[in-house]
Amino acid sequence: MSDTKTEYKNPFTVPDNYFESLEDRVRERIRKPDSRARIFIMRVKPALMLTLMFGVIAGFGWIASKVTSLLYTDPADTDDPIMAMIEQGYLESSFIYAYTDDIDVERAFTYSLENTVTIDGDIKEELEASLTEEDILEYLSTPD
Amino acid sequence: MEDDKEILEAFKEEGRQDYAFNLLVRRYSRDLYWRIRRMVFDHDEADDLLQNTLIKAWKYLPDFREDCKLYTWLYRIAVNETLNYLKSKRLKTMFTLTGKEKTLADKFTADPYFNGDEIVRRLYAAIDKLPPKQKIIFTMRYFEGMKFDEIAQVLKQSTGSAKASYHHAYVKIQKFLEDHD
Repeated sequence: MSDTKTEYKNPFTVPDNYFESLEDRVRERIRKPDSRARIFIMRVKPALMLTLMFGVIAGFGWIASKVTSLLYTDPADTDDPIMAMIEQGYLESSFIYAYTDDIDVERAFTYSLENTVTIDGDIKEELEASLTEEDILEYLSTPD
Repeated sequence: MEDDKEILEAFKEEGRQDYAFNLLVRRYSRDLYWRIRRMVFDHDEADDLLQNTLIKAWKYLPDFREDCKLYTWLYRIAVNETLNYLKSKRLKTMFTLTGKEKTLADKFTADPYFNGDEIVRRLYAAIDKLPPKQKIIFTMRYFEGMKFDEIAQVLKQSTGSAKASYHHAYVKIQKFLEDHD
């Protein structure tokens, strides 16, 4: 075996018209998507499917929330008199509660301690025995 | 360089890219094919690698910096493609489940595009046993008569490394031929 360039007969051959048709075959491959691109698509397909599935679920959730909001009507916007009354009552209650801050808590606590009534037995009988209508009227008319 | 100029100028002109590409294929594909074929031996494999090389050339031709000859650039792409292919093929052979790979001698017997005699068959069988890089370096030097600094330039490695690889390959082939005498 010589260490220099060898004069040798090429043992390889090619099919007939191989080089003549090469141009067209390469051009055809350039027009088609690359096989590597196809392999890449095949590899990422499961991830794409998963993403698509999450997208569909999110889509259904959004549609459901839209449908619910369409079915539910704000009482303030309704023409239904009952619903309007409920809404009005809610506003009045809120108004009362807004003034509870004015109550003297300490005084109310002292009053409850001084006027403790032990209720034994039947509540109705006890109340009837200890409080008459006059007692109540007298209590209400007594100034602070 | 004059040939390169015609191709590159045509490629830059709107509507003349196809003409430029056809010119490139006609001018360089034969030489590239034979160089690839001597590295992989099989026609179908060489054809596939040549087509990959030309497709890459088409894709990256706008990035060609013209700091070397167009053919040198194309040859570099072809060698890289072949080297990667040989590496992956070697890996597949190592992990093959069939247990026994078809020998090169069997392949040559069945190959209608090979007509070498017994000595040539033995030489190619010895080359086929080399690791991919040594195989390529040996082919470049032994069959194509390339200088070591040219080989080093194409493979982007030092001249010393190319020389060492060739020497290892040479010794291995010699041993193979002696053992299979």
